[in-house]
Amino acid sequence: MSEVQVLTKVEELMGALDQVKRYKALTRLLVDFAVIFLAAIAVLLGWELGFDFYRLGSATGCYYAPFGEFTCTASSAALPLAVQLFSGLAILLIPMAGLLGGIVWVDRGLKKVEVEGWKGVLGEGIPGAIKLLQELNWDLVLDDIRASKSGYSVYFTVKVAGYWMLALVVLFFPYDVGMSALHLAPNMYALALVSFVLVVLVARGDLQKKYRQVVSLDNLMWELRWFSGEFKAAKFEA
Amino acid sequence: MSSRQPSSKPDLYVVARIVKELSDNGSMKRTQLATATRLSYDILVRYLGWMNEKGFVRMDGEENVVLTEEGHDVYERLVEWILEYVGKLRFPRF
Repeated sequence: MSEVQVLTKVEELMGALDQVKRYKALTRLLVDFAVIFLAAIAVLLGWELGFDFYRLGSATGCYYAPFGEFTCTASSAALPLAVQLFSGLAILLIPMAGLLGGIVWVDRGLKKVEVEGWKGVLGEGIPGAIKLLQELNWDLVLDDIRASKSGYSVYFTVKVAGYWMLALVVLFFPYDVGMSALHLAPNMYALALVSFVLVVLVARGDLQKKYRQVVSLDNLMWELRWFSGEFKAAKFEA
Repeated sequence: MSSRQPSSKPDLYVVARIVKELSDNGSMKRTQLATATRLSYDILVRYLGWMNEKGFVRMDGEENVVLTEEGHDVYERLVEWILEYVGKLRFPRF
């Protein structure tokens, strides 16, 4: 092996550790994502409650419908058209805004992760490679890989759940129309199951790739655990 | 050459930089070497003193610093060690 091969290997090592950094950041950002999305749901609930209280307060058009449902109707007509429109679409718009806001937040956070800062040092050749290896905090690196593994697994689960929800929403309308045409009652459990199977089938390749990445992180941890042991044990002082 | 040593354990990175410069350029004046390795002159002299004691470098008749066979061998062994161990690592393709 030549000097170039050493540098290539160290470059691969540092590249893999950069990826670990990204996964670790993702773990933290997923919590932010959940908070943003839940905040959007809270806003939606607040909006719906506020709107209902307003209609209730205006004291017209609210009544108990059969089966014990409390329904408000005509009074909202006094509100500006834009508010009425927003109210109708709020159930869709607010969670979508939360979802998009969460995605943008995660994306921005991932772009802020500092990677490839080691390239300049590695440009010095073998001394640079020695410096990078020397300065690695192996215990921290192994901890980061452990955290990344769990973070990545959560990300993987959230992604599947997200696709599943999307499939449910997309399939709901054609399914409902189809069942109505056949004069049958829609079965949400069946729809949920079909959506899940569809998601698994369509995203099969992606799911396999993600699974392999989790396994790769595991392998990387074992490889680095061995290497860090060798590196610590080596006597470099002449 | 000064026999002063680095105040603490010598930094392997600095030693490697000195050896690499000497290996690439042959003999060098201390000032040239300090510039090439981006070390302050004082620190370079301390490192050279330590490396001289270990037999990695020597001074020729014109006060140039020269890498000895032993210095070259130690550097080669270090490179081989990295090759051997880092070379064994298998990195995942994420």
